[in-house]
Amino acid sequence: MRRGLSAVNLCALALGLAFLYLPILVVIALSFNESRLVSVWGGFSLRWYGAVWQNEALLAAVWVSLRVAAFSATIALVLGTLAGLVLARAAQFRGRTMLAGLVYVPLVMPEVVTGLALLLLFVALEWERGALTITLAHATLSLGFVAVLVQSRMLSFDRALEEAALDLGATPFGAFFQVTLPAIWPAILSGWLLAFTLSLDDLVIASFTSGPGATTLPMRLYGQVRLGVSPEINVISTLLIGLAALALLVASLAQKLVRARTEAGAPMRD
Amino acid sequence: MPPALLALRGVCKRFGAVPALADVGFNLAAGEVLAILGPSGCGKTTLLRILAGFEAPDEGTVALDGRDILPVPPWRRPVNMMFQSYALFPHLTVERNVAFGLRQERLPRAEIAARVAEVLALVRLAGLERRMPHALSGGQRQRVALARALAKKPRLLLLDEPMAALDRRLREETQVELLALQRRLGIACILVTHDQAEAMALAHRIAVMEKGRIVQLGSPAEIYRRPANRFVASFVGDASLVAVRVLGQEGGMLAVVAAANDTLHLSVPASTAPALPPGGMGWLMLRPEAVQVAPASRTEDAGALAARITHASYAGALMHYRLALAEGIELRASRPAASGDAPPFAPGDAVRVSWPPGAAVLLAE
Repeated sequence: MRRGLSAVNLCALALGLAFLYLPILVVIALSFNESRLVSVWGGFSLRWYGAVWQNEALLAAVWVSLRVAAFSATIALVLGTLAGLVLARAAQFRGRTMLAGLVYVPLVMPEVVTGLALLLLFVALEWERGALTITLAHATLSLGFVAVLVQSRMLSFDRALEEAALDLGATPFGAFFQVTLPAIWPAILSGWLLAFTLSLDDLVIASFTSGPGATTLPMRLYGQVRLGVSPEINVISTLLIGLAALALLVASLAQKLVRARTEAGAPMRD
Repeated sequence: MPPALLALRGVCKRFGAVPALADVGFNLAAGEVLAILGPSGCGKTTLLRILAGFEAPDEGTVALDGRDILPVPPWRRPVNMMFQSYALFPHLTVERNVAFGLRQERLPRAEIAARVAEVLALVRLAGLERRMPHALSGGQRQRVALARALAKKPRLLLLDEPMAALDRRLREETQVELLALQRRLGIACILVTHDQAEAMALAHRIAVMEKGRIVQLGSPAEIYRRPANRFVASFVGDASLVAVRVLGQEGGMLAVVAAANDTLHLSVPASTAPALPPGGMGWLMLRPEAVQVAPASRTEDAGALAARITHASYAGALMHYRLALAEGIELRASRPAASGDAPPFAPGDAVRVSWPPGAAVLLAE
């Protein structure tokens, strides 16, 4: 077989990558544009990066978004991990099917519906809407994703390992932290990153559940775009892309680290 | 008699409607090795899991050193198990795997290190402390699993199919080592296996299980020579089984006739036979190595029966024969292949077969 790519394959690959990443490259390139007009190239400049730094409304939105994303991802991590563990472990109990269904519903529910439902709930409870309500809403949304990741990892986890830990004197708690968690933490970390990204990215649910004083970044950007695209938006987008890339890098490095640690030492054959 | 280390009484366990264990009871003495032998699905693994604390019986009692251990959770039982899959912690080195149980007890570091070094030397793994489990051979993994269980100095060691994952040559070697180690440490063991050779080689006593019940409990020799029923006879070693009808007692012997052929009269020692009334049905069991085969021309042995070789296979040290004693009655015989007295027989040869009077055993069912 021939190594390397034929012209057709190369072409297909280039088109595919362009389809996926050209829009992103355009945004990144334009963030370094000198011109005030978004679509006209006026030379390389970091001018708008400086401008973003001065734009307090935008920075406040970034801060709200990061806080909401971090907190909601953490809540989703704890609850989603517990749900995933129960779904993978507890063999049969009353309402198992219902629990599975309830955990997965937010994954397929249209966001508009979730958003509206949460809004009505918060209104009925007479909660003041703000960063807290957005955080809770996002945790509800992303809990299911964490649960799915943890559950699928648990299914390939050998139960005998936990039993061995119990047999050797570890309490169920000790067995979980010393044996189960080291095996499944890459899945939990992936879940957290996914939840973080989902929250950072969400516009619909945030719009429904936010209140005065808690404007997330997507809400701010969307509001600005309606008034005309400013070069600052390109800068913020570029920074977000950088953040997402960094998160991906961390996740894959973590997986590699785990693999390297379990594969240390020269393999030996019988 | 010293009190038993472990005493099980009337242990029952059901999974849904399926009984996994029915009225299981036995005693285990200190330093004793008991093999629980049976086909898969006979309940032997459930029994082991009850002893380890992973399952609770529906009925019955389990006492260790005279104390009821059923309310004690697995992590507080002085019982350790070697898992069939070994269940080594993949993210920990050999040393940390072995130290795991000791760290749970919060022993001082120096003591943990000393105990780990001691058991690793015991299983001949010194020098591999820093290896990860996946970088070990199958035999080494098995020894890490054993060391990890031994490090806790359990009152009772449970072995779940300890040799199942090893190839045959390694298995025999490991059996010898395990036996030497057990005799040296004097640790009481319960060994679960479906391999009768392993049970015979390692255990002081064997409990043969079928469908959740212990059908026979005895020394390997007892089980082999005096199986309690047909199942035990055919599960432990090879056996020829002939359906027979009891005629009556003559002197010290019980006369029987083959069910398939009224003219084939046989006899067994009455002392070892179950109490069967005349006319009762039973099975006559013969071990292949007890059956002597001689050429048909040799007629001096009055008790010998005429038979025909139907199948002969060479197995190195032994020749395995199948013989037709009469229509529908088959016996198996294993004779030394290289014995000088007679050339091996071929299928179709007419022969005379005989066996020592005590070799035939009558089974009730």
